[in-house]
Amino acid sequence: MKRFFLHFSLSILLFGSIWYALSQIDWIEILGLDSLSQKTEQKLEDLLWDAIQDSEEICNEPQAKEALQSMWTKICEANQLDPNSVQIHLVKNNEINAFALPGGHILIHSALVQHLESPEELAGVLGHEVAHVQLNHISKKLAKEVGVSLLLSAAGGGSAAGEAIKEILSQLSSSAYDRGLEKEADLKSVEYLKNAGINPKAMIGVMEKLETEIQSDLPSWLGSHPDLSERKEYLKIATAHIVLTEKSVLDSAAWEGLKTACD
Amino acid sequence: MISKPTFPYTPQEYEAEKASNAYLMSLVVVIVGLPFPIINLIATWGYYMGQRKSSYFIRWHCLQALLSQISIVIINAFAMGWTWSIILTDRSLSNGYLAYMALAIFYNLLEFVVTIVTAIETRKGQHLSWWMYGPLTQVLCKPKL
Repeated sequence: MKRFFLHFSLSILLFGSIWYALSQIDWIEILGLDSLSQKTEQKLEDLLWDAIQDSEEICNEPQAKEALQSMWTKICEANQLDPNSVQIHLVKNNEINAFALPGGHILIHSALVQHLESPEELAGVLGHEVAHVQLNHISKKLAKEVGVSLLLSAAGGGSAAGEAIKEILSQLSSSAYDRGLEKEADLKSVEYLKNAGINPKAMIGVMEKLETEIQSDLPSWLGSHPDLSERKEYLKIATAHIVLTEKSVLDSAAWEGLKTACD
Repeated sequence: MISKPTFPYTPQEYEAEKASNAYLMSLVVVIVGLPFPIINLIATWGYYMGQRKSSYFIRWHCLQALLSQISIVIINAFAMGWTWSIILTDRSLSNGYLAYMALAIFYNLLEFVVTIVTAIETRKGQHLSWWMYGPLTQVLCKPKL
């Protein structure tokens, strides 16, 4: 038995040492896995953005762009985020929706803006989508739900690419992230807003509005979002002790302008 | 990794064949066993149970073949678990994972080769004792039932 334990200990030691030594080699760099995925992602970003530009009507009204930009600037300055990491676009669309694409494009539908009561609520939605971008949730969602083969066929071009791009866009715009990622993005958004001096409690109002939408049985993306009452509850807990002076993130003229920008 | 200690007696032809089959059993199920490592263990355990009233030489080698599956089951199960966690959760590809996979593949190949060599030699009536598992088998397997 002594010999067995000696052999066993030596085997564990040998296995662990070789593993540790091999782990010190930068396999990802050597095998080019990083650059491959970066190239593929870059190509995919361009293709998806091209498809959005072809299929959606983007509102380029200067005041609306300015209002969204000022909101983003407040959030990114207070949270030391790279201002170029995100590009926000207002899209003329009757569906209540907002979503992020690879490459940091955040699309906010005009119907959503019209549906919200205050610019703080919109800041909450924006913070949530920014969090998905910053926390790399989009790549995770794509890899998990869309599948690597579809991503590669989309990025690879050819006849199959068009269908693949449509499928990816549909996944990104119409289905929620999994519960863990949604919660992470919600809580990150609370942090962003708090740091920027914007009242994060407005996010609870957004959840309430989304719940009303679901109850009214509107055919929208909302139905696929996980458990809004659960989200509302943890948002209440996360924002319970936050006391901020009520200062609007946008003046009323800018907010009204934003609401009617796509009309 | 393999030593050739003296066995208490010279095994007969049928003993050599049955003992060799225990190693072949683990090779036959290796294809199924790669995605589901536990299959290897179950197959060799089944064969061992079938031979547990056989002669000392047969029992000894059946037990060594069975015990040798333990490390490969643990290593492959961990590799599978890690891979699935990358696919299904937020875990990302890391140098540690790639190093582990390289080591796991090497270990599988090594065990594959050693199993073939042992099966061939055992078929010739030779007594081969593996590193770590040989001494353990020696403790667990007694000459008389």
